[in-house]
Amino acid sequence: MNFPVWDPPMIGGGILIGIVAILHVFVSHFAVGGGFFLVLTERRAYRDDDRELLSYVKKHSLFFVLVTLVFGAVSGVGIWWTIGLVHPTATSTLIHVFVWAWAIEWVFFLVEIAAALFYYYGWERLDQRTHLAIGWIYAGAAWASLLVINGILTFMLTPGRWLTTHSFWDAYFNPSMLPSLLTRTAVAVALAGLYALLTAAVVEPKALRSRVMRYASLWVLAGCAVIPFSGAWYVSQIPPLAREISMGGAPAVTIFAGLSIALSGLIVVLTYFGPYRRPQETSIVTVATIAFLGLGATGVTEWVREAVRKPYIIYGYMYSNALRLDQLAELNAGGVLAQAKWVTLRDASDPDWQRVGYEIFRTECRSCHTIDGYNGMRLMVKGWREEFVDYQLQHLNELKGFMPPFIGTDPERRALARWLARLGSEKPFSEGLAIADGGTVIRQEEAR
Amino acid sequence: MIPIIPGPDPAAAPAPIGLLTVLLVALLPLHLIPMNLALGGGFLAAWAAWRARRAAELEGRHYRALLGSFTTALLVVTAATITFGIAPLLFLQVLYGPLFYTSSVLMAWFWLAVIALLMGGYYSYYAFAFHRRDASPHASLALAGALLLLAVGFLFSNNMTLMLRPERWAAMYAASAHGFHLNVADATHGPRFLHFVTASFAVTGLFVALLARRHRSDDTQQWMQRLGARLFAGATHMQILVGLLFLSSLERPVRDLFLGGNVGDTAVLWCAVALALLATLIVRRRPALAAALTVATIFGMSFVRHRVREAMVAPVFSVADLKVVPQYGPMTIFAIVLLAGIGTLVWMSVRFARAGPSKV
Repeated sequence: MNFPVWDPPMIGGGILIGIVAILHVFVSHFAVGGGFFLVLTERRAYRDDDRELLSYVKKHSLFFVLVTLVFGAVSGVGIWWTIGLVHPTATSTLIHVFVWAWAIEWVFFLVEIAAALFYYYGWERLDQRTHLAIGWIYAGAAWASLLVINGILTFMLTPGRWLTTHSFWDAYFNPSMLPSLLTRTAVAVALAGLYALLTAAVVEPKALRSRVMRYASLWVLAGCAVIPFSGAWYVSQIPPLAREISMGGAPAVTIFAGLSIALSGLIVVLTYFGPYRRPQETSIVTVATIAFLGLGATGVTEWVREAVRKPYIIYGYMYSNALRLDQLAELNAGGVLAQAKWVTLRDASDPDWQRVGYEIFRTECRSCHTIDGYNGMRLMVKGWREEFVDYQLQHLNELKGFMPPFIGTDPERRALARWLARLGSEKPFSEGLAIADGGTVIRQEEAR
Repeated sequence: MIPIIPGPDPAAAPAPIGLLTVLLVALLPLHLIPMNLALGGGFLAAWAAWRARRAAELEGRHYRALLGSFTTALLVVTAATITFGIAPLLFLQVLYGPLFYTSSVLMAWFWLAVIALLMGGYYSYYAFAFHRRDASPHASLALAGALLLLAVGFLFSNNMTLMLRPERWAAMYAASAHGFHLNVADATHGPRFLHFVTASFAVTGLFVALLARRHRSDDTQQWMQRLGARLFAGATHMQILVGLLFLSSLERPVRDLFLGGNVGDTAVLWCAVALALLATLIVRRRPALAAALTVATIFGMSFVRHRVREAMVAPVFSVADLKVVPQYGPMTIFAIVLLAGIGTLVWMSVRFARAGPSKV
């Protein structure tokens, strides 16, 4: 309502965020766990005077640098980019509440990137002790950056006492922060093992390959052993509605939650019977399959985590469509069009009902729904009569627990209902119509 | 009437506006300098790689020496560009979020493309650097990387100028909300983009002049110093023209600030220009001093850039209107972490430098 709404045809913003976020999570957790893997494996190689293992760690560190420093770092910036485009209002809130946390995270990121470069370029140059120390600095800084970001992420689902105190500390130390931190750390350990399996599977000689595979499998299994417990703790801390959504309230979410558990279980079984028990018979194909399952597990889990936050983007503070709860009374009384920027008209009783309906759709619904594409409305309301649509709108949050209530005046709601009802049955409606036919957007000069 | 410019975030700014502004202006050069090197350096590396194959034996050796000291640096400065870009963008979003998010949405697809282009450019540099070790260098990889980063810079210039043009937004959004707008029609955009590209070649030249001293062979040392100094001086002289073009593209009230309208602004701009010119005179004999002067110029220009931004949006937007509720606790922790982080960086750098040159 405050910002213009980006309208990427057919695509929901959620999908874009999902693609970028899932890939980033899959790499960034590896960046955290992988740091510990590198330095601990290096230390072990020194201790046992194991030249072969050391040569493997060196090779693995190149792979590590190529994956984390470039893709990990840039895709992390990518999430920031994407959420700013899809949810500018919420992004702005997160930036304001947490700017110092982001700034602190930035310092850790800086140290992390520098340490990774020194570590990689220092293999032949630095003495063992210094090299190990830099490895520890990398691992510590990477984990610390997870520590900071995790608190911001969990804030969105469980802002806790911040809702009343608006204190930074309440925002950061929110109810699900610790269980999520533990879970993400365990995931990082497991992913470190998973990626190490990938590089181990092609290492020569064969004896070394078997050894490293077994060792890397232990990381996968150890991480996965913690996840059920930390995960249960996490689930116990999230809002009841969020739990309901994931446990039957919304079938798609439930299926994905189930998939998350099933895929993780499959990873454990395959890792145990494959690279752990029979490392010499395990090929790169098996390992790649496990890694792919890992990406799948990461994807569905992150998707569920996002989905259970509905109907909010910041729980109990801001709905998914960027309207804040503290605005509701005013908007319900005075209307959304009267307050919104970036709309072409302000009067819901305007005879051009198509445009009224479209503007309300764009202001309140477009952040999750498209017309014809992802979460498309035309198909959803097909066959619905106007009265039925209106009834649905009046009870939106009761009938569909993961949606916000309709916000606005009665004429606004009726205009939206009329527009939606015609969408399914009558002539196709072009998304650009309302703007393209010469609408008068409120201009700066008029405002002043 | 409701103005089109988004209102400030209801969550207050978590620090005094002055402090946030200082951080924004003072941290930006830490991004700009490596950015200049990543962009200009990519083009230079491509040129050097191309010449190294074709030039006569002696000259070819010079080019290879230049590449030898440049390729790894290319990776490091690209990493630094990204890392040091984050902090200014963070403070920009606190102070100018309503302008920045809006212009980003208007050019959404292009803005999103920055991520893919950056990743492509970065990986091209890695491919170039790692390829070079055993085979003859591939100019095309460095060139591809540099062109991709140039595209990133072009899109950045678009967003950074579009956010200062609220009067253009309504028509753009009315024409299409799909996020395919650019700000190329804006008279300030072209010169501004060119200003940054020219600076990239100047800073790269300076860097080459500085690197020269690391080479043992007198011959190579002189060759590199001459090349670097010529590139720096040439680009900086060109920059004077580009800068004047940029200045003349600004609207009158903004331009006048730097032409005597505001004593401080005028002084900073022209002192920065004078320092850069001075640097071109001494770069051959005293490259380190020239570098120090240029860094001072860049800090001055970062301030000038900020004043242009303030002045351009002054009629409709002012950071002074933002609500402020300082978070002193987290701020203190940031200061401590920052000091510890700098300490760690220094420690690692010293240990690395003392360990002597890499055997690679």
